[in-house]
Amino acid sequence: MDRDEISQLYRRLGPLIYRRCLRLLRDPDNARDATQEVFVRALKHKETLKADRECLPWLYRVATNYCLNFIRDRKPKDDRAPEALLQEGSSESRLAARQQVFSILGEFDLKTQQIAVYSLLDGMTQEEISAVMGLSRKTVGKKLNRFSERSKELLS
Amino acid sequence: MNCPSDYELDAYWLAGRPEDHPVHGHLEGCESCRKRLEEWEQADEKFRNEVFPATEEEVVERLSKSRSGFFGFFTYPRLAAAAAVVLAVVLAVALWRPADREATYIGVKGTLGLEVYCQRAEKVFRVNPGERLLAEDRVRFAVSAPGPGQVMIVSVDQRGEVSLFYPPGPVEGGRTELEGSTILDDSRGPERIFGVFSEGPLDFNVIRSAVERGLKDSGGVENLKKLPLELAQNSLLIHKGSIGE
Repeated sequence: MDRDEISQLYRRLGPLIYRRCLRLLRDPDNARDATQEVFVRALKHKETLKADRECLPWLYRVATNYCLNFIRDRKPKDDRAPEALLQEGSSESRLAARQQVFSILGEFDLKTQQIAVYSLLDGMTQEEISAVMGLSRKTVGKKLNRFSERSKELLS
Repeated sequence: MNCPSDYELDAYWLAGRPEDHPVHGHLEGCESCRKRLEEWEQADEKFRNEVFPATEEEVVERLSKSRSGFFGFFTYPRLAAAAAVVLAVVLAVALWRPADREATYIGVKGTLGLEVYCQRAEKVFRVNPGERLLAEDRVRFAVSAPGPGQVMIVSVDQRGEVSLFYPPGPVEGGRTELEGSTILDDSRGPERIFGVFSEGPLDFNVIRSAVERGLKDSGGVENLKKLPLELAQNSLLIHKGSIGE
């Protein structure tokens, strides 16, 4: 792939990645940096990436993984995610779910974190999560159940 | 239909918003989703006007330079194949132990060859049987199939949890570098990676059932070198944890 093709692909897929990163990080500057990093990683590790539906699970995986690691590693003083989420104009139940997810995500392994984000933040079905994660639907269901049970313990 | 998830909406967006897509019909009757899409368009505009101009040069530069990096290795099949043969000979001499020899993982006729490669930071190496890998390590696979068919890569950890590393996909006979990579999670302990080949379709649930049966009979992932299936297959045991363990 030459420089022009890379540029064209970035122009085509960049908006999708940017939206995804903005949704998870809630900060335009961080989302901008994350977008270029995610695109580079996604293309570096999958050289035949094309802008079609087939690339969607891969982009979701790379972007979500990167953003969750970013949130985990971010210094406390810069940890704006939960507060920013509260200021959104979404429904109360969705906000509560977001706040709950981010406050307890660090207690779980990365795979479970990703599944929780896909389910509770993105509203993805278990079939969609299964496709993105490369896991069986049963495993996704099991991990969501464990997340739910452990979350209740942590929040009680 | 119910309101689509972001994932479904992205699929619709990537497809160019076709009128025959189920999401298209939904949007016509759902003000909430139309508003979501309007917000997306604003974000897209911000990307086009601000993010893309500010980051394009660096992105292109980095990707242009990376062609000889880790996965660049896979773009040179002859070199990779030659390296695999050399490594196989060296490993066969170094690791051969008649009593408890781990599975041979370079393909010979009638079997499936399985090669596992790992990227850790800037370092890339081929994974040997019993090697210790870390959370966040990125692994890729290459297989040597006995003929045209389908291949699938799964893993099972010591708790018996089966993960799908590479969904069933077509391969020709001979060596194939599988696309994509898998980032290891932070679970610890022994984990066995299985490559399975079939001339016909492969079903993950069938493979998982075989893993469960095999675990029951063998007593653990360390002993489960072969799945109870009449399929060409191979496996590699890894240990997940920290370097110091």
